[in-house]
Amino acid sequence: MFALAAPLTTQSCAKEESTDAVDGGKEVVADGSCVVSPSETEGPFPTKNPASYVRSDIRKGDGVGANMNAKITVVNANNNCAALEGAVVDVWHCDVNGDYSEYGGTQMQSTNYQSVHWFRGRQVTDSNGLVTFQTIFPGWYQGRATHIHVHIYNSAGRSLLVTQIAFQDSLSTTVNTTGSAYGYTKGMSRYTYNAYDSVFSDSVAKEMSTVTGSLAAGFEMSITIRVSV
Amino acid sequence: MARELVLCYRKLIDNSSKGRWERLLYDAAYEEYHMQVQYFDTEGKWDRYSDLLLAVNGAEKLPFLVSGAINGYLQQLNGRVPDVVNNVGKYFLRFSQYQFEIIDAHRSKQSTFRIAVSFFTDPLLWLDTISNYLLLQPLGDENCLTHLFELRPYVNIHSVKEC
Repeated sequence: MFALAAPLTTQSCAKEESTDAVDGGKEVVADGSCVVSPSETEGPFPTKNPASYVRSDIRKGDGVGANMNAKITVVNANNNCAALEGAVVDVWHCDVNGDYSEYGGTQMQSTNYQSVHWFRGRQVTDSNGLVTFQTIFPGWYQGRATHIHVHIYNSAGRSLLVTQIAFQDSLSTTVNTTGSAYGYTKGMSRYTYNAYDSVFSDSVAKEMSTVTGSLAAGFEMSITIRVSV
Repeated sequence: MARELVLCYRKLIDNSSKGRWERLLYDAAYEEYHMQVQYFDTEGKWDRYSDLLLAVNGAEKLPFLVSGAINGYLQQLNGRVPDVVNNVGKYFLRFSQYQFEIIDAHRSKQSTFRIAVSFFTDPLLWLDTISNYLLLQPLGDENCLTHLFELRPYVNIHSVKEC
């Protein structure tokens, strides 16, 4: 293997060299299984980095979909529904085709390290209990009405509430039957309306969003979510 | 005949990892796991990740969901595969694809949290094998520069294509 820390010598001098103390006479045993260690300047120095979810604009960046500002206000039902500041709000929803940002959901696939987890975001509520996400009006997939998932945590990351945001059937119909220029090409065939949705059927009034705007101008969605802290 | 290789370096990170990058990534991943797992186990029934996987449909998405917390650390590498060097001690492998795994996790014991990041290299030409070394050339290298490289534990030849 490698000659360690010894000067280059001719073969005839090898014996003398090996008995001549180089480092206090200690022998260095070469480990045949070792590979070369890194020997480059360190850097750049790693820095703490927030999760890629922490952003307000959670769009894909491909321009597909009708823009929507989603304004979510979190209030504390145990405090006369006063605004809850400092709550962590996670949202996620599907794209116009009804797909979530997942690479197959199996453990066998790789992904590009520069890809972002689109349509997934995290914000912390301000003093008004408000978070805002720039996103698009969600698409839909078979078996479910249009929805946005929400998971609210306290500032320490303890789960407070998992819920979903619902949309009026009439709005989903408008978007999916007249929004083909924005990428909504599925129509409403086999759509699951709120009354038949397994999540919303018995509670939709509590999860219903208020939406203004249009496909062309973009939508403004707002909802107040009550948690118990 | 030259062959086109993709190497995979599977980097294990656990509570004994000492490097600053590894610690930052490890702590971020655990914090995210702790948050995300509550969606799949709302009542806190399963302490161990392995039990949760068997019991709860959808829990297999956790590696993807937790990977959102480590993306930024992978970007800090600027496409350079860590730890693995050529025979003169220089980093030489580039990657753009990775895979994140949760090997072991427990709801309340961070010390048992073990993860892995597999780095899949950009394609390399395997020109020859000299003694214990592969003679590799990054695909498309205009200067015909090569690297002598000895395979080491946790480095696999992920795929081979005849060219």
